[in-house]
Amino acid sequence: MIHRLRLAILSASFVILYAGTLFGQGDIIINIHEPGTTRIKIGVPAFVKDQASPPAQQANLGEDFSRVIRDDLDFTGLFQVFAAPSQHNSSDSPLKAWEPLGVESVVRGAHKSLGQRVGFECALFDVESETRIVGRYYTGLPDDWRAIAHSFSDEIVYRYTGKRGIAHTQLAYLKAKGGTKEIHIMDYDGHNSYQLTFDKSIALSPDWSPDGKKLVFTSYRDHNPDVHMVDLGKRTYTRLSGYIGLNTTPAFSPDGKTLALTLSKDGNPELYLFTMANGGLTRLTRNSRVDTSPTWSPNGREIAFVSDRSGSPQIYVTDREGVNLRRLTYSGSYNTSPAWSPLGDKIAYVSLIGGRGEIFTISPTGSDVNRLTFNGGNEDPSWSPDGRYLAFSSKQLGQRDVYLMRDDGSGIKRVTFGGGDNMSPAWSP
Amino acid sequence: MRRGTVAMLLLLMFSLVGSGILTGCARKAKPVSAKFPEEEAMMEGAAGRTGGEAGLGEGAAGEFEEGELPIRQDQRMREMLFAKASEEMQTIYFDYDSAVLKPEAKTNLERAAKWLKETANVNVQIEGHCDERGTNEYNLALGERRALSARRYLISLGVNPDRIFTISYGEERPAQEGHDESAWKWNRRDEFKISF
Repeated sequence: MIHRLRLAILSASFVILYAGTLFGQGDIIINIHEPGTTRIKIGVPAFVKDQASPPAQQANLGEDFSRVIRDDLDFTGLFQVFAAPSQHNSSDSPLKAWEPLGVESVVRGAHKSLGQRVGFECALFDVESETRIVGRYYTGLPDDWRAIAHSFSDEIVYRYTGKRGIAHTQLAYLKAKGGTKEIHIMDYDGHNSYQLTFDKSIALSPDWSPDGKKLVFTSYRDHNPDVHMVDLGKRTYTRLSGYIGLNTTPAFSPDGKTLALTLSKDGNPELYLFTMANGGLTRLTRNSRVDTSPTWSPNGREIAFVSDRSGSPQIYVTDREGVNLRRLTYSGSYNTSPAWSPLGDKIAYVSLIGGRGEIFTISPTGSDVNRLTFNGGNEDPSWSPDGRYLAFSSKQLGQRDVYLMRDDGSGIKRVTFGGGDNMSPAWSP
Repeated sequence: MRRGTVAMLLLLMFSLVGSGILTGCARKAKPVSAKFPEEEAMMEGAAGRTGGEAGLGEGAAGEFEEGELPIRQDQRMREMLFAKASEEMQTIYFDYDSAVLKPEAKTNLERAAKWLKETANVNVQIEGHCDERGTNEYNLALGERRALSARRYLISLGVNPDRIFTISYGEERPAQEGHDESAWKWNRRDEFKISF
């Protein structure tokens, strides 16, 4: 108890110290994710058009650009975002105008047309000292403006936390429509979505390779649930595992050399390791019940998975040799869909509470069970690469859509909006 | 009486092998066979062809580990078209989160096995399905176990394993729309399709 109290005081003093970080005085990293930490007030006014530049093709580009940054920063849970300075200010300085709101830093910038390209000057200023903390100049095609805004959002998060943000990431997910399920990819905030597979079949359980260049998934395109891989760079589509029976729930090991997956070729759904280099198989489980949905610990030593060997589906952990098995979940009669956090400290999973799916986290030792959702119909948790956020699917509004939330269940944000059921998000590295 | 003793012995062996105590010597010993004596004789043909071990009937599930019944990989026929099955092969239904064959299901399968043995030129595909509750990935595995339960029972009734294919659709292909037991009970099922 005393220990915990001391931690709280420590994190509070870090908050006071963060200005030091901004001035580049050292490597003091604030754990802003500590519950109860005050949010940093940040101003993000609309970007202005560069005076000398010809008119932009997009009418409200400056405001649209800033709105993306505002949404990114707001979702992190680290910031309280303001779009405009105080009206009641007597100062001539544009930065000092934010001071009455208690805003500590301000994102300002300009956009310009460069013929076929666009440019964005982005800067983060400290209000008190009126100095620039970081400045970046980005150019790209007009369609790249959202990606550029996300990049600068991640830069801001890096300045405050020492870790790059996740605004540049993507989600692969399934869209169900007319009896088919196809894989789609979108930005983490739901924009720029596009369809990846056109199999007119059922695709399931997408997972990214650790380098983000490939996706593995199950598809019925050859009239059997087989594991396929799409190379996003080379635009190739390969069948990896096509044994008779189930070839499902492929999960890349952290080094990308191995897939853990479920095969029923030996007469029952069992876990196997599949060597990417030569297709060699190592069997991990051996019992007459279901073993499926493997997820790797970030060091690649252990695998959490689902088994109903006790009579109901529960989460188990085994090492990658298939030994040292232990049961992880004991409360609830239906626990499935484990997802091991890239930070290693938590495993997210789905538990049926009164027949309705809710998302929980548990530590790899089986302690610290935390319920994150409360409205039912929640499935498919997938961690962001920094282990701070979860994507999941929810049926809370009638149809299934993809949502995001922070690892404490706060900040729930819907990122798909119909056009069929949207589900099974897989967060890119 | 004798059957009871054999069963007890098998149970003992399995629990020991399962718990790893006997793993060292089991490796050297003859492979353990998970069959009742009468099944042993019945399964001889099938086991010889597949090179694997036959499983126990469903009645013993829960007490015994089901033996492995590998599926011949060269039997995968990509272009085989399976159509709706005949009157002789009725859809069978399961309890929630269960792959155990109910008495009605066994009756249906016995009728199906008789027909399959009379109609030698037909292959059958068993489609395992689940209701919408629970998660897709687990339901895929559960649907596969439902299909494999029926396959195992058909084999035990003398149908050639090479003629029986399985596929699981999990909760992807409900027979009835709806979000309560009135629909769910029709969705937890094995459907049968045949190919000539």
